[in-house]
Amino acid sequence: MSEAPISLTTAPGEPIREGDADADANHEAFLRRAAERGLTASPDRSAAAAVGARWLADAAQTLRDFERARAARGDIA
Amino acid sequence: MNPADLSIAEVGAKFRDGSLTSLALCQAAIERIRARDGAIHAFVEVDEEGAIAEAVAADRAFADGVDRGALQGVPIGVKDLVDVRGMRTRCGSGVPNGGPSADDAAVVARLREAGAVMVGKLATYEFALVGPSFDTPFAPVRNPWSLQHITGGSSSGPAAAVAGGMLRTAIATDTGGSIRSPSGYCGVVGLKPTNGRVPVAGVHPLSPSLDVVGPISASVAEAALTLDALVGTSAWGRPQAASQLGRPIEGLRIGYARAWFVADPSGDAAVIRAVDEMASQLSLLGARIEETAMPDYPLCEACGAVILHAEALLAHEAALRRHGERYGRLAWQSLASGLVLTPDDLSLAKRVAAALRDELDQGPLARFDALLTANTLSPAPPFSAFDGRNAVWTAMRTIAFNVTGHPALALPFDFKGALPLGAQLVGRAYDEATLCQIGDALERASAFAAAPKPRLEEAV
Repeated sequence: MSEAPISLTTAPGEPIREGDADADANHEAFLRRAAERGLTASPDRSAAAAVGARWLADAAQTLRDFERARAARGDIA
Repeated sequence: MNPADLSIAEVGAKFRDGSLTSLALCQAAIERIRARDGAIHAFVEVDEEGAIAEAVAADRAFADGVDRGALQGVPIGVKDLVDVRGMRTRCGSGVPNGGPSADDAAVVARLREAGAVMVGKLATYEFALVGPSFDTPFAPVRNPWSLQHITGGSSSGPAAAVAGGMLRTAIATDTGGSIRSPSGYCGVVGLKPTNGRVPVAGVHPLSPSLDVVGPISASVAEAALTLDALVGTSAWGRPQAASQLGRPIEGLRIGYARAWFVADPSGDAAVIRAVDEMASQLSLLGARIEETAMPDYPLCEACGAVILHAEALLAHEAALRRHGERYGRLAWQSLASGLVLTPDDLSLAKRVAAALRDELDQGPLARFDALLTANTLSPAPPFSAFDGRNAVWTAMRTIAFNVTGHPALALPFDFKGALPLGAQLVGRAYDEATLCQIGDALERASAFAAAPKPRLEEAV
Protein backbone atom coordinates (compact mmCIF):
# COMPACT_ATOMS: atom_id res chain seq x y z
CA MET A 1 0.00 0.00 0.00
CA SER A 2 2.56 2.53 -1.09
CA GLU A 3 0.76 4.47 -3.80
CA ALA A 4 -0.94 7.80 -3.40
CA PRO A 5 -4.74 7.73 -3.34
CA ILE A 6 -6.59 7.96 -6.62
CA SER A 7 -7.10 11.65 -7.43
CA LEU A 8 -10.68 12.80 -7.77
CA THR A 9 -12.11 15.47 -10.00
CA THR A 10 -15.76 15.33 -8.94
CA ALA A 11 -17.07 16.89 -5.75
CA PRO A 12 -17.40 14.49 -2.80
CA GLY A 13 -20.86 13.01 -2.73
CA GLU A 14 -21.49 13.54 -6.42
CA PRO A 15 -22.90 10.33 -7.89
CA ILE A 16 -20.94 8.43 -10.49
CA ARG A 17 -22.93 8.17 -13.70
CA GLU A 18 -22.80 5.47 -16.29
CA GLY A 19 -20.49 6.61 -19.04
CA ASP A 20 -18.93 9.16 -16.71
CA ALA A 21 -15.34 9.64 -17.89
CA ASP A 22 -14.19 10.29 -14.36
CA ALA A 23 -15.88 7.13 -13.12
CA ASP A 24 -14.26 5.19 -15.95
CA ALA A 25 -10.85 6.59 -15.05
CA ASN A 26 -11.48 5.77 -11.42
CA HIS A 27 -12.43 2.21 -12.35
CA GLU A 28 -9.32 1.84 -14.52
CA ALA A 29 -7.11 3.11 -11.71
CA PHE A 30 -8.78 0.66 -9.34
CA LEU A 31 -8.23 -2.24 -11.76
CA ARG A 32 -4.52 -1.36 -12.08
CA ARG A 33 -4.19 -1.25 -8.33
CA ALA A 34 -6.00 -4.57 -7.93
CA ALA A 35 -3.87 -6.23 -10.61
CA GLU A 36 -0.69 -5.05 -8.90
CA ARG A 37 -1.89 -6.75 -5.73
CA GLY A 38 -2.94 -9.95 -7.51
CA LEU A 39 -6.70 -9.46 -7.12
CA THR A 40 -9.10 -10.16 -9.95
CA ALA A 41 -12.87 -9.94 -10.24
CA SER A 42 -15.66 -9.55 -12.74
CA PRO A 43 -16.08 -6.04 -14.21
CA ASP A 44 -19.32 -5.34 -12.34
CA ARG A 45 -17.80 -6.35 -8.99
CA SER A 46 -14.73 -4.24 -9.59
CA ALA A 47 -16.77 -1.27 -10.79
CA ALA A 48 -18.75 -1.28 -7.53
CA ALA A 49 -15.56 -1.66 -5.51
CA ALA A 50 -14.07 1.30 -7.38
CA VAL A 51 -17.03 3.44 -6.24
CA GLY A 52 -16.34 2.36 -2.65
CA ALA A 53 -12.64 3.11 -3.13
CA ARG A 54 -13.48 6.58 -4.30
CA TRP A 55 -15.58 7.19 -1.17
CA LEU A 56 -12.68 5.95 0.97
CA ALA A 57 -10.26 8.23 -0.86
CA ASP A 58 -12.57 11.11 0.07
CA ALA A 59 -12.61 9.90 3.66
CA ALA A 60 -8.80 9.84 3.77
CA GLN A 61 -8.73 13.35 2.34
CA THR A 62 -11.13 14.49 5.09
CA LEU A 63 -8.62 13.21 7.65
CA ARG A 64 -5.71 14.99 5.97
CA ASP A 65 -7.69 18.25 5.92
CA PHE A 66 -8.51 17.83 9.62
CA GLU A 67 -4.89 17.25 10.55
CA ARG A 68 -3.74 20.18 8.42
CA ALA A 69 -6.26 22.44 10.18
CA ARG A 70 -5.11 21.23 13.61
CA ALA A 71 -1.52 21.89 12.67
CA ALA A 72 -2.44 25.37 11.44
CA ARG A 73 -4.09 26.07 14.81
CA GLY A 74 -0.99 24.82 16.59
CA ASP A 75 -2.90 21.89 18.13
CA ILE A 76 -0.24 19.44 16.97
CA ALA A 77 3.49 19.80 16.52
CA MET B 1 -45.52 -19.44 31.09
CA ASN B 2 -43.00 -20.98 28.71
CA PRO B 3 -39.64 -20.95 30.58
CA ALA B 4 -38.00 -19.64 27.40
CA ASP B 5 -39.81 -16.35 28.09
CA LEU B 6 -38.40 -15.94 31.61
CA SER B 7 -35.52 -13.58 32.25
CA ILE B 8 -32.11 -14.79 33.37
CA ALA B 9 -32.87 -13.55 36.89
CA GLU B 10 -36.23 -15.36 36.91
CA VAL B 11 -34.83 -18.70 35.72
CA GLY B 12 -31.92 -18.27 38.13
CA ALA B 13 -34.31 -17.96 41.05
CA LYS B 14 -36.21 -21.03 39.87
CA PHE B 15 -33.02 -23.07 39.37
CA ARG B 16 -32.03 -22.26 42.91
CA ASP B 17 -35.40 -23.01 44.53
CA GLY B 18 -35.71 -26.23 42.54
CA SER B 19 -38.83 -25.26 40.55
CA LEU B 20 -37.06 -25.35 37.18
CA THR B 21 -34.12 -27.25 35.75
CA SER B 22 -31.64 -26.13 33.16
CA LEU B 23 -32.60 -29.23 31.20
CA ALA B 24 -36.25 -28.13 31.00
CA LEU B 25 -35.22 -24.62 30.02
CA CYS B 26 -32.86 -25.83 27.30
CA GLN B 27 -35.48 -28.20 25.94
CA ALA B 28 -37.92 -25.26 25.76
CA ALA B 29 -35.32 -23.16 23.94
CA ILE B 30 -34.64 -25.96 21.46
CA GLU B 31 -38.38 -26.36 20.84
CA ARG B 32 -38.61 -22.64 20.15
CA ILE B 33 -35.71 -22.83 17.70
CA ARG B 34 -37.31 -25.77 15.90
CA ALA B 35 -40.65 -23.96 15.67
CA ARG B 36 -39.43 -20.52 14.69
CA ASP B 37 -36.01 -20.54 13.11
CA GLY B 38 -37.12 -22.11 9.85
CA ALA B 39 -38.58 -18.72 8.99
CA ILE B 40 -35.98 -16.49 10.67
CA HIS B 41 -32.61 -18.22 9.96
CA ALA B 42 -30.88 -16.85 13.07
CA PHE B 43 -28.95 -20.08 13.71
CA VAL B 44 -26.35 -21.59 11.40
CA GLU B 45 -25.78 -24.56 13.72
CA VAL B 46 -27.69 -25.92 16.70
CA ASP B 47 -25.91 -28.44 18.93
CA GLU B 48 -28.95 -30.02 20.59
CA GLU B 49 -27.04 -33.00 21.98
CA GLY B 50 -24.22 -30.89 23.39
CA ALA B 51 -26.64 -28.38 24.90
CA ILE B 52 -28.66 -31.09 26.62
CA ALA B 53 -25.46 -32.61 28.07
CA GLU B 54 -24.30 -29.21 29.34
CA ALA B 55 -27.73 -28.50 30.84
CA VAL B 56 -27.65 -31.82 32.69
CA ALA B 57 -24.16 -30.93 33.96
CA ALA B 58 -25.43 -27.52 35.13
CA ASP B 59 -28.29 -29.18 37.02
CA ARG B 60 -25.85 -31.61 38.58
CA ALA B 61 -23.67 -28.70 39.67
CA PHE B 62 -26.65 -27.01 41.35
CA ALA B 63 -27.47 -30.28 43.10
CA ASP B 64 -23.86 -30.51 44.30
CA GLY B 65 -24.01 -26.98 45.67
CA VAL B 66 -21.78 -25.53 42.96
CA ASP B 67 -23.02 -22.07 41.93
CA ARG B 68 -21.00 -20.21 39.31
CA GLY B 69 -23.32 -17.23 39.11
CA ALA B 70 -26.08 -15.74 37.02
CA LEU B 71 -25.44 -17.61 33.77
CA GLN B 72 -25.20 -21.12 35.21
CA GLY B 73 -27.63 -23.30 33.29
CA VAL B 74 -28.70 -20.49 30.93
CA PRO B 75 -28.81 -21.26 27.18
CA ILE B 76 -26.65 -19.00 25.06
CA GLY B 77 -25.58 -18.70 21.42
CA VAL B 78 -22.52 -17.10 19.85
CA LYS B 79 -22.08 -15.29 16.56
CA ASP B 80 -20.41 -17.53 13.99
CA LEU B 81 -17.30 -15.39 14.04
CA VAL B 82 -16.37 -16.76 17.46
CA ASP B 83 -14.59 -20.11 17.87
CA VAL B 84 -16.38 -22.83 19.78
CA ARG B 85 -14.44 -26.04 20.29
CA GLY B 86 -15.71 -28.76 17.97
CA MET B 87 -17.78 -26.43 15.78
CA ARG B 88 -16.75 -24.78 12.53
CA THR B 89 -16.39 -21.01 12.35
CA ARG B 90 -17.85 -20.14 8.97
CA CYS B 91 -18.02 -16.35 9.33
CA GLY B 92 -21.14 -16.32 7.16
CA SER B 93 -19.04 -17.20 4.13
CA GLY B 94 -18.39 -19.89 1.58
CA VAL B 95 -14.66 -19.14 1.73
CA PRO B 96 -12.83 -22.24 3.07
CA ASN B 97 -11.92 -21.60 6.68
CA GLY B 98 -10.67 -24.93 8.01
CA GLY B 99 -12.45 -27.60 10.02
CA PRO B 100 -13.96 -27.51 13.49
CA SER B 101 -12.20 -25.23 15.97
CA ALA B 102 -9.70 -26.96 18.22
CA ASP B 103 -10.20 -24.47 21.04
CA ASP B 104 -12.81 -22.17 22.49
CA ALA B 105 -12.42 -18.44 22.02
CA ALA B 106 -11.50 -16.70 25.27
CA VAL B 107 -15.07 -15.43 25.69
CA VAL B 108 -16.52 -18.91 25.18
CA ALA B 109 -14.11 -20.30 27.78
CA ARG B 110 -15.37 -17.64 30.19
CA LEU B 111 -19.00 -18.48 29.45
CA ARG B 112 -18.26 -22.15 30.16
CA GLU B 113 -16.55 -21.17 33.43
CA ALA B 114 -19.74 -19.29 34.27
CA GLY B 115 -21.79 -22.44 33.58
CA ALA B 116 -23.64 -21.17 30.49
CA VAL B 117 -25.08 -23.78 28.11
CA MET B 118 -23.82 -23.44 24.52
CA VAL B 119 -26.78 -23.99 22.19
CA GLY B 120 -25.28 -23.06 18.85
CA LYS B 121 -23.76 -20.63 16.40
CA LEU B 122 -25.61 -17.58 15.12
CA ALA B 123 -25.62 -15.96 11.69
CA THR B 124 -23.46 -13.01 10.70
CA TYR B 125 -23.08 -10.86 7.63
CA GLU B 126 -20.15 -12.32 5.68
CA PHE B 127 -16.97 -11.74 7.70
CA ALA B 128 -18.92 -9.17 9.73
CA LEU B 129 -18.80 -6.75 6.81
CA VAL B 130 -21.97 -5.90 4.95
CA GLY B 131 -25.35 -7.32 4.03
CA PRO B 132 -27.84 -8.67 3.57
CA SER B 133 -26.20 -10.95 1.00
CA PHE B 134 -28.05 -13.36 -1.27
CA ASP B 135 -25.03 -15.20 -2.72
CA THR B 136 -23.48 -16.88 0.34
CA PRO B 137 -24.33 -20.39 1.62
CA PHE B 138 -26.51 -18.83 4.35
CA ALA B 139 -30.01 -17.45 3.95
CA PRO B 140 -30.40 -13.81 5.03
CA VAL B 141 -31.77 -13.50 8.56
CA ARG B 142 -35.29 -12.13 8.78
CA ASN B 143 -36.50 -9.63 11.36
CA PRO B 144 -38.84 -11.35 13.84
CA TRP B 145 -41.03 -8.24 14.03
CA SER B 146 -41.63 -8.42 10.27
CA LEU B 147 -40.17 -11.17 8.12
CA GLN B 148 -40.15 -8.80 5.12
CA HIS B 149 -37.63 -6.55 6.85
CA ILE B 150 -33.90 -6.96 7.46
CA THR B 151 -32.33 -7.39 10.87
CA GLY B 152 -29.32 -5.17 10.22
CA GLY B 153 -25.91 -6.51 10.94
CA SER B 154 -23.46 -7.77 11.11
CA SER B 155 -24.76 -9.55 14.23
CA SER B 156 -27.97 -10.51 12.47
CA GLY B 157 -28.30 -13.94 14.10
CA PRO B 158 -27.80 -12.85 17.73
CA ALA B 159 -30.32 -10.01 17.39
CA ALA B 160 -32.94 -12.16 15.65
CA ALA B 161 -32.49 -15.09 18.06
CA VAL B 162 -33.17 -12.82 21.03
CA ALA B 163 -35.97 -10.83 19.36
CA GLY B 164 -37.55 -14.10 18.24
CA GLY B 165 -37.68 -15.46 21.79
CA MET B 166 -35.25 -18.31 21.05
CA LEU B 167 -32.57 -17.07 23.47
CA ARG B 168 -32.50 -14.44 26.22
CA THR B 169 -28.90 -13.52 25.54
CA ALA B 170 -26.26 -14.03 22.85
CA ILE B 171 -22.68 -13.09 22.06
CA ALA B 172 -22.00 -10.68 19.20
CA THR B 173 -19.25 -8.44 17.87
CA ASP B 174 -19.17 -4.76 16.96
CA THR B 175 -16.64 -3.04 14.68
CA GLY B 176 -18.74 -0.17 13.34
CA GLY B 177 -22.13 -0.78 14.93
CA SER B 178 -22.64 -4.53 14.47
CA ILE B 179 -24.09 -5.03 17.95
CA ARG B 180 -26.08 -1.81 18.09
CA SER B 181 -27.68 -1.52 14.65
CA PRO B 182 -29.27 -5.01 14.61
CA SER B 183 -30.33 -4.44 18.21
CA GLY B 184 -32.03 -1.24 17.09
CA TYR B 185 -33.77 -2.82 14.13
CA CYS B 186 -34.83 -5.89 16.13
CA GLY B 187 -35.94 -4.16 19.34
CA VAL B 188 -33.44 -5.79 21.69
CA VAL B 189 -30.64 -4.51 23.93
CA GLY B 190 -27.07 -4.35 22.60
CA LEU B 191 -24.10 -3.49 24.78
CA LYS B 192 -20.84 -2.55 23.08
CA PRO B 193 -18.26 -2.56 25.87
CA THR B 194 -15.25 -0.30 26.09
CA ASN B 195 -12.68 -1.33 23.49
CA GLY B 196 -10.29 -3.78 25.16
CA ARG B 197 -12.70 -4.68 27.99
CA VAL B 198 -13.47 -8.17 26.62
CA PRO B 199 -10.78 -10.42 25.10
CA VAL B 200 -11.01 -11.03 21.34
CA ALA B 201 -8.73 -14.10 21.14
CA GLY B 202 -10.44 -16.73 19.03
CA VAL B 203 -12.72 -14.21 17.32
CA HIS B 204 -12.19 -13.79 13.58
CA PRO B 205 -10.78 -10.27 13.20
CA LEU B 206 -12.30 -7.61 11.00
CA SER B 207 -10.43 -4.54 12.20
CA PRO B 208 -8.38 -5.18 15.34
CA SER B 209 -8.32 -1.50 16.32
CA LEU B 210 -12.12 -1.35 16.37
CA ASP B 211 -13.36 -4.90 17.10
CA VAL B 212 -15.15 -5.58 20.38
CA VAL B 213 -17.17 -8.52 21.71
CA GLY B 214 -20.35 -7.94 23.70
CA PRO B 215 -23.88 -9.14 24.40
CA ILE B 216 -27.21 -8.77 22.64
CA SER B 217 -29.92 -9.52 25.18
CA ALA B 218 -33.62 -9.28 25.94
CA SER B 219 -33.15 -6.63 28.64
CA VAL B 220 -30.52 -4.28 30.03
CA ALA B 221 -30.10 -6.39 33.16
CA GLU B 222 -29.48 -9.52 31.08
CA ALA B 223 -26.96 -7.69 28.92
CA ALA B 224 -25.15 -6.50 32.06
CA LEU B 225 -25.05 -10.00 33.55
CA THR B 226 -23.75 -11.43 30.28
CA LEU B 227 -21.06 -8.78 29.96
CA ASP B 228 -19.95 -9.46 33.52
CA ALA B 229 -19.49 -13.13 32.62
CA LEU B 230 -17.48 -12.16 29.51
CA VAL B 231 -15.24 -9.84 31.51
CA GLY B 232 -14.63 -12.46 34.16
CA THR B 233 -12.03 -11.63 36.74
CA SER B 234 -8.84 -10.71 34.98
CA ALA B 235 -6.17 -8.09 34.62
CA TRP B 236 -8.68 -6.13 32.50
CA GLY B 237 -11.01 -5.56 35.38
CA ARG B 238 -13.67 -7.07 37.57
CA PRO B 239 -17.31 -7.62 36.63
CA GLN B 240 -19.25 -4.45 37.38
CA ALA B 241 -21.81 -3.84 34.63
CA ALA B 242 -24.66 -5.17 36.80
CA SER B 243 -23.48 -3.48 39.99
CA GLN B 244 -25.72 -0.38 39.70
CA LEU B 245 -28.89 -1.99 38.33
CA GLY B 246 -32.03 -0.81 40.08
CA ARG B 247 -30.41 2.28 41.59
CA PRO B 248 -32.21 5.57 40.92
CA ILE B 249 -30.75 7.90 38.31
CA GLU B 250 -31.82 11.07 40.09
CA GLY B 251 -29.15 13.72 39.78
CA LEU B 252 -27.15 12.02 37.04
CA ARG B 253 -26.11 14.43 34.28
CA ILE B 254 -26.92 13.27 30.76
CA GLY B 255 -25.81 15.16 27.67
CA TYR B 256 -28.30 14.95 24.80
CA ALA B 257 -26.41 14.91 21.47
CA ARG B 258 -29.50 15.94 19.50
CA ALA B 259 -27.91 18.17 16.89
CA TRP B 260 -25.65 15.25 16.02
CA PHE B 261 -28.47 13.46 14.17
CA VAL B 262 -31.63 15.55 13.74
CA ALA B 263 -30.49 17.31 10.57
CA ASP B 264 -29.44 14.10 8.82
CA PRO B 265 -31.63 13.86 5.70
CA SER B 266 -31.75 10.07 6.13
CA GLY B 267 -33.31 10.41 9.57
CA ASP B 268 -36.89 9.28 10.13
CA ALA B 269 -39.06 11.73 12.06
CA ALA B 270 -40.33 8.84 14.19
CA VAL B 271 -36.76 8.15 15.38
CA ILE B 272 -36.30 11.80 16.36
CA ARG B 273 -39.58 11.72 18.28
CA ALA B 274 -38.58 8.50 20.04
CA VAL B 275 -35.18 9.83 21.14
CA ASP B 276 -36.77 13.12 22.28
CA GLU B 277 -39.25 11.07 24.28
CA MET B 278 -36.39 9.09 25.87
CA ALA B 279 -34.71 12.37 26.88
CA SER B 280 -37.98 13.55 28.39
CA GLN B 281 -38.41 10.27 30.26
CA LEU B 282 -34.88 10.48 31.65
CA SER B 283 -35.71 13.96 32.93
CA LEU B 284 -38.90 12.67 34.57
CA LEU B 285 -36.76 10.03 36.29
CA GLY B 286 -34.70 12.81 37.85
CA ALA B 287 -31.69 13.01 35.53
CA ARG B 288 -30.43 16.43 34.47
CA ILE B 289 -30.62 16.66 30.68
CA GLU B 290 -28.73 19.22 28.67
CA GLU B 291 -27.96 19.40 24.98
CA THR B 292 -24.33 18.91 24.16
CA ALA B 293 -22.01 19.46 21.24
CA MET B 294 -20.10 16.47 19.91
CA PRO B 295 -17.08 15.82 17.68
CA ASP B 296 -17.84 16.29 14.00
CA TYR B 297 -19.76 13.17 12.93
CA PRO B 298 -18.59 13.00 9.28
CA LEU B 299 -15.03 13.15 10.59
CA CYS B 300 -15.74 10.27 13.01
CA GLU B 301 -17.27 8.26 10.18
CA ALA B 302 -14.36 8.96 7.81
CA CYS B 303 -11.89 7.98 10.50
CA GLY B 304 -13.70 4.72 11.26
CA ALA B 305 -14.09 3.84 7.60
CA VAL B 306 -10.39 4.30 6.87
CA ILE B 307 -9.29 2.21 9.85
CA LEU B 308 -11.86 -0.50 9.19
CA HIS B 309 -11.20 -0.88 5.48
CA ALA B 310 -7.41 -0.65 5.74
CA GLU B 311 -7.24 -3.26 8.48
CA ALA B 312 -9.88 -5.54 6.95
CA LEU B 313 -7.97 -5.69 3.68
CA LEU B 314 -4.77 -6.56 5.53
CA ALA B 315 -6.61 -9.41 7.26
CA HIS B 316 -8.18 -10.75 4.04
CA GLU B 317 -5.73 -9.95 1.25
CA ALA B 318 -4.12 -13.39 1.04
CA ALA B 319 -7.49 -15.14 1.07
CA LEU B 320 -8.86 -12.73 -1.53
CA ARG B 321 -6.04 -13.77 -3.88
CA ARG B 322 -6.65 -17.49 -3.32
CA HIS B 323 -10.44 -17.56 -3.04
CA GLY B 324 -11.68 -14.25 -4.42
CA GLU B 325 -14.51 -15.92 -6.31
CA ARG B 326 -15.75 -17.64 -3.13
CA TYR B 327 -16.41 -14.33 -1.38
CA GLY B 328 -19.92 -12.99 -1.72
CA ARG B 329 -20.20 -9.99 -3.95
CA LEU B 330 -20.82 -7.39 -1.24
CA ALA B 331 -17.97 -8.60 0.98
CA TRP B 332 -15.54 -8.69 -1.95
CA GLN B 333 -16.49 -5.17 -2.98
CA SER B 334 -16.17 -3.85 0.55
CA LEU B 335 -12.77 -5.44 1.11
CA ALA B 336 -11.32 -4.55 -2.29
CA SER B 337 -12.32 -0.90 -1.91
CA GLY B 338 -9.62 -0.69 0.76
CA LEU B 339 -6.98 -0.99 -1.99
CA VAL B 340 -7.10 2.79 -2.31
CA LEU B 341 -5.77 3.31 1.22
CA THR B 342 -2.11 3.58 2.14
CA PRO B 343 -0.22 2.79 5.36
CA ASP B 344 0.06 6.54 5.87
CA ASP B 345 -3.74 6.81 5.72
CA LEU B 346 -4.07 4.19 8.44
CA SER B 347 -1.49 5.91 10.66
CA LEU B 348 -3.23 9.24 10.17
CA ALA B 349 -6.64 7.72 10.97
CA LYS B 350 -5.27 6.35 14.25
CA ARG B 351 -3.94 9.80 15.18
CA VAL B 352 -7.32 11.33 14.39
CA ALA B 353 -9.03 8.62 16.46
CA ALA B 354 -6.87 9.58 19.44
CA ALA B 355 -7.79 13.24 18.96
CA LEU B 356 -11.49 12.39 18.77
CA ARG B 357 -11.23 10.29 21.94
CA ASP B 358 -9.58 13.19 23.76
CA GLU B 359 -12.22 15.60 22.47
CA LEU B 360 -15.01 13.41 23.84
CA ASP B 361 -13.24 12.75 27.15
CA GLN B 362 -12.31 16.37 27.77
CA GLY B 363 -15.59 17.77 26.43
CA PRO B 364 -18.98 16.10 26.83
CA LEU B 365 -17.83 13.17 28.97
CA ALA B 366 -16.07 15.51 31.39
CA ARG B 367 -19.36 17.34 31.98
CA PHE B 368 -21.84 14.49 31.81
CA ASP B 369 -22.16 11.01 33.34
CA ALA B 370 -23.44 9.68 30.00
CA LEU B 371 -24.66 10.83 26.60
CA LEU B 372 -27.93 10.13 24.78
CA THR B 373 -28.07 10.08 21.00
CA ALA B 374 -29.60 8.17 18.11
CA ASN B 375 -28.62 4.64 17.17
CA THR B 376 -30.12 3.72 13.78
CA LEU B 377 -31.82 6.67 12.12
CA SER B 378 -34.70 4.66 10.70
CA PRO B 379 -36.64 1.52 11.51
CA ALA B 380 -35.48 -1.67 9.78
CA PRO B 381 -35.60 -1.29 5.98
CA PRO B 382 -37.47 -3.85 3.87
CA PHE B 383 -35.60 -6.55 1.93
CA SER B 384 -36.99 -4.97 -1.22
CA ALA B 385 -34.55 -2.07 -0.73
CA PHE B 386 -31.58 -4.42 -1.27
CA ASP B 387 -30.63 -5.96 -4.59
CA GLY B 388 -27.58 -7.86 -3.36
CA ARG B 389 -25.37 -6.18 -5.98
CA ASN B 390 -24.55 -2.91 -4.28
CA ALA B 391 -24.30 -1.99 -0.61
CA VAL B 392 -27.15 0.21 0.60
CA TRP B 393 -26.35 3.07 2.95
CA THR B 394 -28.35 2.90 6.19
CA ALA B 395 -27.71 5.89 8.44
CA MET B 396 -26.72 5.37 12.07
CA ARG B 397 -24.54 6.99 14.74
CA THR B 398 -22.48 4.01 15.84
CA ILE B 399 -18.95 3.86 14.43
CA ALA B 400 -17.85 7.01 16.29
CA PHE B 401 -17.67 5.00 19.52
CA ASN B 402 -15.64 2.19 17.95
CA VAL B 403 -13.24 4.93 16.92
CA THR B 404 -13.11 6.52 20.38
CA GLY B 405 -13.49 3.21 22.24
CA HIS B 406 -16.25 4.37 24.60
CA PRO B 407 -18.94 1.93 25.75
CA ALA B 408 -22.39 2.28 24.19
CA LEU B 409 -25.77 0.75 24.98
CA ALA B 410 -28.48 0.37 22.33
CA LEU B 411 -31.96 0.03 23.72
CA PRO B 412 -35.47 -0.03 22.26
CA PHE B 413 -38.09 2.46 23.37
CA ASP B 414 -40.94 2.74 20.88
CA PHE B 415 -42.37 1.52 17.57
CA LYS B 416 -43.14 2.83 14.13
CA GLY B 417 -45.94 0.56 13.05
CA ALA B 418 -44.75 -2.97 13.78
CA LEU B 419 -41.06 -2.05 13.79
CA PRO B 420 -39.04 -1.10 16.88
CA LEU B 421 -37.25 2.20 17.39
CA GLY B 422 -34.60 3.05 19.96
CA ALA B 423 -31.53 5.04 20.81
CA GLN B 424 -28.04 4.81 22.20
CA LEU B 425 -26.47 5.76 25.53
CA VAL B 426 -22.72 6.38 25.60
CA GLY B 427 -20.55 6.28 28.69
CA ARG B 428 -17.11 7.04 29.98
CA ALA B 429 -14.44 4.47 29.25
CA TYR B 430 -14.85 1.36 31.45
CA ASP B 431 -18.07 2.73 32.98
CA GLU B 432 -20.56 0.24 31.59
CA ALA B 433 -22.17 0.18 35.04
CA THR B 434 -23.59 3.71 34.76
CA LEU B 435 -24.84 3.00 31.24
CA CYS B 436 -26.66 -0.10 32.47
CA GLN B 437 -28.04 1.77 35.48
CA ILE B 438 -29.54 4.45 33.20
CA GLY B 439 -30.68 1.96 30.57
CA ASP B 440 -32.34 -0.24 33.17
CA ALA B 441 -34.23 2.74 34.65
CA LEU B 442 -35.33 3.84 31.19
CA GLU B 443 -36.40 0.34 30.27
CA ARG B 444 -38.55 0.05 33.39
CA ALA B 445 -40.22 3.36 32.55
CA SER B 446 -40.83 2.62 28.86
CA ALA B 447 -43.85 0.95 27.36
CA PHE B 448 -41.63 -1.13 25.08
CA ALA B 449 -40.77 -3.82 27.60
CA ALA B 450 -44.45 -4.46 28.29
CA ALA B 451 -45.49 -4.36 24.63
CA PRO B 452 -46.57 -7.59 22.91
CA LYS B 453 -43.67 -9.54 21.39
CA PRO B 454 -43.53 -10.55 17.72
CA ARG B 455 -46.47 -12.79 16.80
CA LEU B 456 -44.22 -15.52 15.51
CA GLU B 457 -46.53 -18.47 15.80
CA GLU B 458 -48.74 -16.82 13.21
CA ALA B 459 -45.76 -15.83 11.09
CA VAL B 460 -44.33 -19.35 11.18
